[in-house]
Amino acid sequence: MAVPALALAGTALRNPLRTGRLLLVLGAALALWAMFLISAISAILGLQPLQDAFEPSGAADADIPAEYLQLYQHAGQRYDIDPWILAAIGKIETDHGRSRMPGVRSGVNTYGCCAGPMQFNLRNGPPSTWDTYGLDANRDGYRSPYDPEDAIPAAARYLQASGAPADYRRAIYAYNHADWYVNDVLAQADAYRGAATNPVDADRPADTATVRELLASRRLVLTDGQRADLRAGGIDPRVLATLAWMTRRHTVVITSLRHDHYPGTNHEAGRAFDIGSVDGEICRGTRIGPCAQLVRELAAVAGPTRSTELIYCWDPDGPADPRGFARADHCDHIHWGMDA
Amino acid sequence: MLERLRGWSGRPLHHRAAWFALAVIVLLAAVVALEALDDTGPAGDARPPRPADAPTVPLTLPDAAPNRPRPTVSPADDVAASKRAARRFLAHYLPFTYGQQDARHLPLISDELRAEIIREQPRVPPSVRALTPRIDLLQMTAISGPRAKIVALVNDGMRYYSVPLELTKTPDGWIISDLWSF
Repeated sequence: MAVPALALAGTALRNPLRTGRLLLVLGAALALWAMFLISAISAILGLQPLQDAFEPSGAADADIPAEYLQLYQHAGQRYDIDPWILAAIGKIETDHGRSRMPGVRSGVNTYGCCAGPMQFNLRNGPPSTWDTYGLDANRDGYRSPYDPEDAIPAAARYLQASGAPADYRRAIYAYNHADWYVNDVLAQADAYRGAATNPVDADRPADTATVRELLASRRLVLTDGQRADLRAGGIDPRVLATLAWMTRRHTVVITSLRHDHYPGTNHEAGRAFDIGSVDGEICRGTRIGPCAQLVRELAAVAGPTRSTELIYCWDPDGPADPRGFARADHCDHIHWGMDA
Repeated sequence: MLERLRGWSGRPLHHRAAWFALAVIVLLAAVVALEALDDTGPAGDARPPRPADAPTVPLTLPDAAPNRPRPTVSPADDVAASKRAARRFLAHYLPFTYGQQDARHLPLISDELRAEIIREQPRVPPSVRALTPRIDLLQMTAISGPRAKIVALVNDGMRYYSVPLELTKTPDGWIISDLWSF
């Protein structure tokens, strides 16, 4: 391998006129190869872009003791975990260590398993969850689930081992095997998450009148997670405008917005939503009724808010227009999406 | 042929720079093509096919049960069957997460997922245990061959949330294979 390389280098040096072209080709090839290598490594290791950072909200400042707030933030930074998820778990489990229930300051809880401000399981081993993830983070010589300085970093470590930050739902579910718990943690974290610290985020429409209007609307039925999607920003203004426009005429149930859709689609980019019910009718793909009426209205929209992906059980705008089309797996909802 | 190759390899290296560049381009094109093929996995909303009207093309079942008859099932049938399986599973799973039922009786679930779920019982406070969760809506998000993604909107009177499900088609029908993959 070294001999041809040396020969190539020698040839290049002996032919200065060719050297430039050869180096150009080699440079371009190396750059492309490096790009490919980085993408491959990112895909294999699941590298994520840096997470947005958020200041504590007014609710967080008012509710979280200063010592705990600092611990959540430090642990989040150390283990690349959203500190507001940690704070939400601390709130729901023991009200940031203030709960007087058994198992918070000594012993185990009423379920006979868990202890400390973050309610680590001590009894599901050996090794128990605490045995595996507990640590002496404050280096006082003791590894105690009752000490928030040990328990909060250990919780961050456990969340990381359970799939966060790539998959918070799975990680929170590992903490307590119940979807209502996952929902509660995500909703509480959303309440604690304040303004973005990243200046780029200032351009997001999170605080626009449209978001406030949508969150206040009684005609737009959203899950807690979808509300958090809206508040967090990053939802395309055309989506916001269309949701607001629809809810002036109809009551709609949104079945999927951003966090609750699998990745790799316009949902992930904040440019799509799914509607499961219109004016009390569950969408079932019929050609009459409120769902059919709404999909026709959406197909008739002109201008920049016209969807480039309007999907239902039947083609809402005819075969000549490729922006609307039918899919058999869209007979129970209307998909509205916008390519970039 | 051998002589031609030998002659080609004997040419000065700077005469082969163009060939080298061509080889690099071909390799990169192959990488890009493979990448693009890899992205065409499950049918998603972002880049779906755009048929003129409702799809009626029959879907052939995967070669999972070579000794059984292999009926052709239309996507609409698969949608209905997978949603029925999801509804039946949730009828047992939701009470389990509210501390009202045992996970051993969960129907239509893969062994791996059952093992993961029953590894620990959910900790359910009495205020939550008293609630009755019900499915408000069940939506098919995507279906592609033997895999389907469904989201259930659940209302327990205190909260309104989604439960994402991934289903896999087996020779015995649709089963729940994952719960948190969205």
